[in-house]
Amino acid sequence: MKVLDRYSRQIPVIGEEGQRRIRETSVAVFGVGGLGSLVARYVVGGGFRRVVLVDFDAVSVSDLHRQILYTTEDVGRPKAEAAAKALRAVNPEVEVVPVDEPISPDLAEGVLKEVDIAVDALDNWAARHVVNAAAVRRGRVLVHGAVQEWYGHVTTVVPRATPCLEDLFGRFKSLPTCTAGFCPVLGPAVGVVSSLMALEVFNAALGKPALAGRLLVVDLKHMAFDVLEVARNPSCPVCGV
Amino acid sequence: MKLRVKFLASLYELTGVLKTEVEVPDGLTIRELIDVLARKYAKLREELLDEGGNLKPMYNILVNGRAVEWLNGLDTRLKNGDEVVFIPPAAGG
Repeated sequence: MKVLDRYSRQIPVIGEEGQRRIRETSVAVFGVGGLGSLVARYVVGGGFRRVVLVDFDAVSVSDLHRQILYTTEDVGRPKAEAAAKALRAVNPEVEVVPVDEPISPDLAEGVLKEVDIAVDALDNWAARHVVNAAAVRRGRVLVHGAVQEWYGHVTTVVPRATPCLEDLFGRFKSLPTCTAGFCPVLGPAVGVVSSLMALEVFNAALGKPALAGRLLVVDLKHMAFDVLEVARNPSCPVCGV
Repeated sequence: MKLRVKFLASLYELTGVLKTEVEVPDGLTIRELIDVLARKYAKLREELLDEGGNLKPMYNILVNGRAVEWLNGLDTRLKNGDEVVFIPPAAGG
């Protein structure tokens, strides 16, 4: 198969220069659950250079209604490994690196040292804030998304230029994790939010993240989309001046 | 003074209103704004605030795109034209 065949529907949209930029960009997806599955699927399909998948969880049967990389046969397998196998089959031209380890400041920094763009597709605020702090320290663009019930939001953190997650969601650090049964959700709502995140990864790789400094909030029960302009807090302990 | 108010996600479900404008006395605080809004949206106060009158951990309020915790919390004073957004967090991935 020729390279141009694989990307022939995409290149007319972003141009050959755009495709070249994507091919030179590496991405770390933190959390390969509902959001991370589809983000990774589109990023790998789109031909990014290298995609690192960070997840310490195993596939469970309750994941399958929304986590599109996995099948019933994967139940019990580590998500990072199962996702990497599925994604390599989608596009063997992309280097897919599974990291089956829990999120820690050292892990997040180590992963981000080697990539250009970070994706926060995690399922708990404590870990999201660890990745946020590492992204700010490393100066990496962070595409953040979250989803629950019929609702979700997406924003892009450009360190030192836009609000970081501490600015916007610092008060949520101690909320319960989703693994404690905190986050009921509809599968298609996850699909919408993760698609928006994947688009923003493309935008960021092409140099124009559309949600930098903006918080997109989606209400899929009423099909209401709202964009909020958000502002930095100069005394933010994570990204403040 | 006039304020723009948004109730996003599940708070839209609670109030039945996504965006509205309210006319309130000058210098109102967020806490006083919630009391004003609660006259129209009966369950709003108990949904947002705990028994001690503090903002519940699962809600966030943005004034002109800044979280009130970085301003003066519920005692943040509002000014004409401010946009106040009430938003619960989506947490899942």
